Order: sequence, then structure tokens, then C-alpha cells
Amino acid sequence: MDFETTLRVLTELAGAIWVTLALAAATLPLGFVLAALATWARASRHRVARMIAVAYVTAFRSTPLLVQIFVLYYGLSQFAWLRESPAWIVLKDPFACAVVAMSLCTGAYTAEVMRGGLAAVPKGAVEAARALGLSPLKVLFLVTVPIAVRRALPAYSNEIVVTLKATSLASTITVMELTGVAKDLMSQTFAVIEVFCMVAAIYLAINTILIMLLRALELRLTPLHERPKPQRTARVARPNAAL
Amino acid sequence: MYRKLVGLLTALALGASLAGPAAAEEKPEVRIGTDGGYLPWSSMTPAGELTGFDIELAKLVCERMERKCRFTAQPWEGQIPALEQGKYDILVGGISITAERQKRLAFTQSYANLPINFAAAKSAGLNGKSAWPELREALVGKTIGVQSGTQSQRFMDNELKGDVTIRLYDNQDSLNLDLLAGRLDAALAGRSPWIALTGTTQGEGIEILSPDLNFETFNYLGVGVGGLMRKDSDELRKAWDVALCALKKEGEIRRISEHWFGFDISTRADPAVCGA
Amino acid sequence: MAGEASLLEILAWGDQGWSRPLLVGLGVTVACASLGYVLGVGLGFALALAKLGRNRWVAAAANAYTTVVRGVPPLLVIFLLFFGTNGALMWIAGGFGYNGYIEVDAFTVGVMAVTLVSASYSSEVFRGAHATIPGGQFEAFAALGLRSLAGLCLVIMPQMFRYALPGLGNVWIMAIKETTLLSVISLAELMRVVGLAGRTTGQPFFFYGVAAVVYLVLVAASSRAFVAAERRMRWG
Repeated sequence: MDFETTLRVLTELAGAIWVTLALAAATLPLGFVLAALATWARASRHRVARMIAVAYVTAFRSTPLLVQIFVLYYGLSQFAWLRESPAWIVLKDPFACAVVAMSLCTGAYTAEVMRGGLAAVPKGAVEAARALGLSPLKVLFLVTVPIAVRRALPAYSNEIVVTLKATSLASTITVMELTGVAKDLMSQTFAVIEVFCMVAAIYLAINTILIMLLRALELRLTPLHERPKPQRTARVARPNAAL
Repeated sequence: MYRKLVGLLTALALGASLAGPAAAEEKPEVRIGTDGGYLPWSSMTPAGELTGFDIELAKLVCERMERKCRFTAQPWEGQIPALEQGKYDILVGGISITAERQKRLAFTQSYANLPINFAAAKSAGLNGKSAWPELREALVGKTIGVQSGTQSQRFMDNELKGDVTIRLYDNQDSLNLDLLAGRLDAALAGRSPWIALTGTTQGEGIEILSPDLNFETFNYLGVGVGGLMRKDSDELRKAWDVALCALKKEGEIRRISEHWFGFDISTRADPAVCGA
Repeated sequence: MAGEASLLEILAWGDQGWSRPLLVGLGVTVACASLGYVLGVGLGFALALAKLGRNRWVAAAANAYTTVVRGVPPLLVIFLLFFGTNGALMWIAGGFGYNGYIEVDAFTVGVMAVTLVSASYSSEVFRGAHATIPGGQFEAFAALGLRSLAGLCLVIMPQMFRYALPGLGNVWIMAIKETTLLSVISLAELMRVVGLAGRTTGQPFFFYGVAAVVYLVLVAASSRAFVAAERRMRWG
């Protein structure tokens, strides 16, 4: 690849980084809200709410993300009544579609992470707080949540990296993020390997920075007496990378 | 594939090629790559069999050349690298002959020519423009879909980039789905897929927009459709061209084009190749 | 496009229906996932040993491998393998004086992609399992006079597999899901067939729905099988 082509490829890829980051930035908060709702519903007194939440988490964790994206994008658009409904404002746009599909997926996985975090909160701590006369809301926000967040952070960090990688699937529904732009550049320049190696390096760099930041955050949230750990926290890995 | 790899490893281990001389007597089969998802040039039945205008034509050519041919379906985006690496001997399937491609690769003579056209929902009222500048004005600000790596994408990049939102699709079928769904205001492709689409009940609401866009006005669009080969396959290219000349003169190409397209898209025999 | 055909006709068994291609696609999916998984777990075990071993350079290389494969989207790994392996193989073969064409077909690329990705994840699973084995055991088998290799094979490895089983179950589910991405290089696995069927019949929702159900059943059945295996391996 000559210098001029390399420069052009790099410029176009640099522009696409923002699309990739925007996808992840839009997906993660939405997924978090969905997960919080699902977690809340799973602990609810109403059977129906519990069932819906369990069904949601199971269905989205057991099917590949690519299937979810295609159902949402190409599948739903075949129905005329849906195209006339207000939902079409969101579904019409490939970017919004990708965000919705990925949020639903990461929401299901994050719900599991939250459950793990909550399960790790020692019962004694909650009881102690109650015994001190704290209101249930105060117990939740002053005791349960801080402990759960700390316990769940390694697994959630993992989820963030997975989501960032999953944004590459948006290219299959015409969103021009990093992978999409790479595919286009490839068909124009024929420099297949060079282009893909550059993109791989970009993803790797973004993920490495993310992981470093998240590790630093984890360390800050760890109480001093627990800090110098003999071995790394067992990560509740979600190996179902980007799928 | 495994057999080939094992064969290669054996050859390497023995330090000599075992297969060379025996294969030279009978000409090896011609390996043809085609998209399989580009109606009506090249498509696939549920049974997994390739069919279409270019498939039928290539079979006739192979018959004339008295060579065995093997077809492999692979999406367009990976075809040129595969051809260059030697996976195929020739690519067919509505491939436009362009100067840019001719720099790296070689073409057979052109055997068919079709313009590219925009298509849009009838309700959009974009039809009836007599010339390109008029249509261009109407398209500004719209969202337009196109299959990536095609002449249509080239056209979009040259004529409309910056003034419209361009969406790239891996294949014509996905492009059709999004045009039907209304995610696209218009779409650009060769005339043939639009004829196929507007002929179905689903495609009733879609119309092909005038004017036709072709080589006469936009000379980078190419003089028609040909088979694409590497520059070093001179022998095959000549044999293929001779067969094409005969098929053109006998009206065979016109016959199959009428079957697949409903009208004649064949180009005249190239005097430089076929003689007077 | 045959928008007029009923769903029953579309699904019919035979030349015009999509049942048979769908079943064949499922076969390709399962074959590709299981082949890649078995190879991947084998490679992952070797990587785990490398990470735990004494040679610092080997361990660093194994760690670098895991970091790279986990840091790059699987879709990109697949594209790289698909477009890169032919050229790379031919370049290597060229060095040996073989100038013919070597083809790596989509299925092989698919198996390779699943292998590479599941190797990186399973190596971490094995390493985690190794960390859960109490340190006293290493001393115990040394005290019994077992040589390190024998001790590794007889004492440590069986336990590693037992502790690793739940994690390996996750890797298997990941392998199944990863095969869906192979449709982008047109390996005729389930997702590719489903996409083709949905687009040509104009019924994408129906076919993607079928795919979702099939994957759900596949994953549910796999989880059950792994839970059952775990139960059997629990001693006492």
C-alpha cells in the first residue's frame, strides 16, 4: 500500500472510531437501565413480573446477538402495521436499531452481573444496618448497593469490553462504524490484510485503554485492607464475546 | 480443501511434485466464481444449484470450448482477492468492464449491457425526470442505498457524495428489503434487479426512475458486462472470446437474455476480437 | 421473490422448500462449532500450561495471544482469517518452492476462527481452575514421591477439568454463537441459510424467528448436558 492510500485509509478509519464509541456509549447506559429493571422485577413479589424478567434474561442470553439484530432490523420491518406505528421512528434508523438490539442483549447479561453482585452482599451487613434502625431505602443505598457494585465491577468491566467489540456487528445492518468502513475500504483499495490489521490494532488499543481505566477504578473501590491481592479477582467472565 | 492441503504437504515432504506431468495431458477444469445472489445474472435455488443468465451463458461457453467447468458461489466482495490469489480462473455475474478494473485484471469482450437506474416508491413522485441533473436535484438530502463494491456505488461516490446519505449493503436482497420497508428514499442498482423486483406483488409500489444512467454519459461506468480474469490467463481469455463470438453470431446470447431479462441485452460482436 | 407462497409451502421438504437447507445448515453449524471447540479447548489447555509454566517468555507469549484475541471483535478475526490465510499459506508454500494455488475454504476458516477464540477463553478458564486447587495438594503429591509429570496427570489435571467444567460450558455456548458470524464469509451454516431464505422469500421475520428458537434450544440443551456432566464428576 502506498503512502497516499495509507493516509486515506487511516483518516477514514479515524472518523469511524467515533461511530464505534458512540454506539457503545449509547448502548451501555440503556443496557444498564434495562438490567436494573430486570433485576428489580426478578426480586418482585408479582409472579408475572418475575416470569417476564426471567424470560427476558434467558431468551437474550441464549440467542446470538446477530440473530437479535437481524430480527429487529430486517425481521420487524416486514410488517406494514409496524411501519406505520411510532416505533418506526426508532426502527427506521440503522444506528438506533443497532443500539436497541445491543442494549437488549447487554441488559440481559448485565442483569446476571447485578444478581451476582447482590448475592455477594453479606446478609450480616444488611441485618446490622437494619438493627441500627436505617430505613429500607437507606439500607439499600448505603449498604447493599456499594458492596454489590464493588463485587460486580470486574464482571461489569468485562461486559463493557464485550459490548465495545459487539459494535462491530452493527456493520451488518449498514452502520458505518470501524468494521463497516474497513469493509468498504477493502473493496476500494484491495489492500485487505493491511486494512484489517489496522482496524484490529485500533480495537485492541481502545480495549486496552478501557481495561486499564476500569482496573484503576476497581482498585480505588477496593478497601485498603483488601488491596494488595495475592491473585486476581476471579472474573465472572462472560466469554460469550460479542455474540 | 483437506485433500489439497494433504497433497501439498505430501509434495513438500517428498521434495518433488508428483502431480505435474499426468495432469498436463487433459486440460484442467475451468473454475468459475460467481455471486449467486444477483438476480437474474447469477442466483441460487433452494436446492443450492446456481442458475441465472451468466450461469447459462458460461455453461454454453464451456460446451463450445470443450472444457469442463466448475461453478462456486461466493459473495462479490471477496471475489476479486480470490481471483487474484488463483482460487478462480474467471468471474462472471453481471460484472461491468471498467478502466479501473482493467488496470489490474483482464476482461473478456463485453457480451451484455444494461444501464443502472434509481428505483423508489411510486408515492415519492421522483419519476419522470428527463435528464440526470433534474433527477439529481430531486435526490439531494435523501437516503439512498447501494450495493457495496458495485458500479452503482462508484456512481454514488462520484455524483452524489456529500449531498445524500449513502447506505451500503452486502447484497441486492437486503437492499430490496430496506427499499420496500421505506428505510431508503431511493436505491441505485443495475436495471435488471429492479425489473425483477417490480414484477413481484411486494414490489408493486416501487418504480424504476428515468433517466437510464450509462456509459454514454458517465464513461467510468464501463462498456458493458464481461468475464473477469487475471492478466496471465491469455489462453483461456482467447478461447472464451472465440466461443462468445460464435454464440453472439448464432443469436444464442439474445435468446437466453430474453429468457432471463425479458428483452435483449446482448451486445454486438466486437470486430476487433471476432473479425468482420 | 415469492411473497405469495404460504409458510407451509416455504418450509416444505423438497427442491422448492427450505426445510432441507435449514437442516443442512444446522448440521454445518454444529459440526463447525464442535470441531472448533474440541481443537480450541486442546489449544487452550496447552496455553494454560504455558502461562503457568516456568519459562517466562513462553508465558508472556501465551498471555499476549489471549489479550489480542480477546481485544479484537470476533467478526474481525473471521475476516482476517478468511482473507489472510490463503495468502499466508501460499507465501509459506512459495518459500518451499510450491507455487500452486492453495485454498482454504469457508468451513476451514470457520473451524479456525472458533478454535482461536475458544482457545483464548478456555485457557483462562483452565488457569482459573488451577488457581482453585489448594496449594497443599502440590506438596502432598511431592511428599508421596510422585514425579511432577505423573503428579500433574494423576492429581492436578482431573481436578482442573472438574473445576473448569462450568467455564468450559460457557465456552461451548460461545462457540455456537460465534458460528453465526461465519455467515458473513458465506459459510452455509444455519444463519446464512436463514438469511438467504428470509430475503428470497420476503419473510425475514419468520426465518430469523426460526433461527432464534433453534439456537435457544441448542443452548438450553447444551447447558443441561454440562450441568449433568458436572453432577457426575462430583465425587463423594
